[in-house]
Amino acid sequence: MRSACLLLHLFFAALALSCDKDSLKTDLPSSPAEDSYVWKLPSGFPKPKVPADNPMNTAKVELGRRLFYDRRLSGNGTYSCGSCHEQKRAFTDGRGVALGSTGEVHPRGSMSLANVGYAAALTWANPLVTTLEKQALTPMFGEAPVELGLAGKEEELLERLRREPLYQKLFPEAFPEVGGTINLDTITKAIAAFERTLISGNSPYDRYLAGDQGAMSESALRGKELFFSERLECFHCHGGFLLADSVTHDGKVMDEVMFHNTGLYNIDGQGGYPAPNRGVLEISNRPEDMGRFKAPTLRNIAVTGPYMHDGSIATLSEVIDHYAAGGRTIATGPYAGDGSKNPYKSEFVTGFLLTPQEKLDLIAFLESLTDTDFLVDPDFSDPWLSAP
Amino acid sequence: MAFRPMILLLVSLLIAFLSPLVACGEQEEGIEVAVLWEAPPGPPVERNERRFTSDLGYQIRLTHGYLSSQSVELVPCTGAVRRRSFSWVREAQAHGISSPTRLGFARVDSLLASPGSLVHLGTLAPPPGSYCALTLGLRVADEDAEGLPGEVDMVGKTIVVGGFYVAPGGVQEVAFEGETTASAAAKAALGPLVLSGEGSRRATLVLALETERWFDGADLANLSREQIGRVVLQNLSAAAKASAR
Repeated sequence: MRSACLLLHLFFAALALSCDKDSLKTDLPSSPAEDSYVWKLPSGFPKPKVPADNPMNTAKVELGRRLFYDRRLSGNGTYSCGSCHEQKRAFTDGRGVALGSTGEVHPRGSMSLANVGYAAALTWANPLVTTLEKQALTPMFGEAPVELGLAGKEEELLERLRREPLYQKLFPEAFPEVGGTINLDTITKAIAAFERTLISGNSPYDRYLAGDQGAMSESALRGKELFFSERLECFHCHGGFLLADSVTHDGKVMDEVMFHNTGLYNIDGQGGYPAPNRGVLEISNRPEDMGRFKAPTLRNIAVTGPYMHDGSIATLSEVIDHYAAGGRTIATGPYAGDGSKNPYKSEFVTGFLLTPQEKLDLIAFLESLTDTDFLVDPDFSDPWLSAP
Repeated sequence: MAFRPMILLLVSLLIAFLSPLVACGEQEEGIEVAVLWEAPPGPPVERNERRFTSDLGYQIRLTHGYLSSQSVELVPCTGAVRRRSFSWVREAQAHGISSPTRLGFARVDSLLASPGSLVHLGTLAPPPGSYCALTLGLRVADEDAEGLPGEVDMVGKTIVVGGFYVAPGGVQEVAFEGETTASAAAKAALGPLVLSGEGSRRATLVLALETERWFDGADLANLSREQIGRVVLQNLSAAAKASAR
């Protein structure tokens, strides 16, 4: 009888749990990789995934912030990571395509770093770059195009940094396990650690989801319904808590990485995109990967224009026009073609009809995704602009 | 006496089994809203075609036309659905999924069906409340859509129209075709429709696209198939009317 009562107690306890939504929130145990760092996570956000060989700590994050904004990390001392990733623009640069430290034009635009710690794949069209530590090497040492221009200047870079008194203090604090060694491994790990803290989740949309019924305008709420409707299909590629796909986080076992052709070009009538911007095909050499690019997060999208991988669409209004048409038609010039007829186009880009008011509502929703606190958060700002 | 503990245990288990229904929410039975689709009432169908005169002066004979729909949804008067807590589940519904306020299906209907003919789309079981609109979701037809025609390929298309026109001032008939892959929503206002357990529990709604101006704004001689399809889809979806019977 006692055991039967115990079973009943257990049953009711389980029942209570099943009916209490709040109790469904699980505090996943910290992985070994996360030691002393205390995450500032918005409601509903999981912890970012942290590589086991690069555990977070406060000193490392501060060191990473210093390095992120340090112009000594460019070959000619004029550029830092922050030159193409400005905080006020949600860590983009306002350009259609990025400009490297030597003036070389990058074929693609600077991606937002907001919530980049949750990205299962980094960059616009390279499924092989999956960690921030690895990605950091590309802008530092890449030569086609030159971004920070450090190729062949590795020792010079290390010498510059070793001479900085602040780094002589911060590297040992951040990397006690290797005695504070300043090398490419610790530099990229520190930058990656800082980038993982760039978490944005306090937009009007977030506040609305958290229960603030007045956080979003009626127009934005109507736009939200449109955004998540079958008619517009936006949510298929821009869904979940990041309004993106290819998202990972702590505790996620299988990462799904996806790239999409949105019918932006069709220059040869067979789905062609202009080289060297042909999407995943540049890596895979598979025809079906032509024009496939990552669906970026739509958080802070209103401040990250111009849009698309090559910045070829200036405004959100024009982006909506592109999707409403089911692809872009370019009438004249070397890129002329009907993108809506691109054979590799995503099945979700079929086009839709939208009234002028609905379009305004959709834009209002997209604008409600701007986290203004994130854009001025002193934790993410350039520390070299103030006294160390 | 030996049975008493066993009886107590069984009663306890019975309570435990039933209590989720009490603890996890309430359900009000019996509210039903049947939704019917009425073939476009005008212009009349004669000899298996509809005839139009557009605002641009085109004389049009529509000899074939099909429309693909995938959902019909009751819209609460409170406007946008407000969700209080963050959900890990995406907030949108997959194609074809039904809910108490939404019917999911995949069907293709002829735009030359006899005016007044009715099709039962299904029955909704919405919660009590006031509903101010009924929305018909128009999307591309899947391969398994009900009513796929034999004469034209509707798969991957939302609307197909075709026939002949005489341009303004002309005498020669010219064949035309229009089609689009664009999605649209035909939203019809409701009175509102007030449903409650104590009052009105059952209703029948008839949804129709009531316009004779299908081709208004379509400069047929100068538009592509896609553009013609979009204009007709726009005109039809803007003309949705719902009536209670």
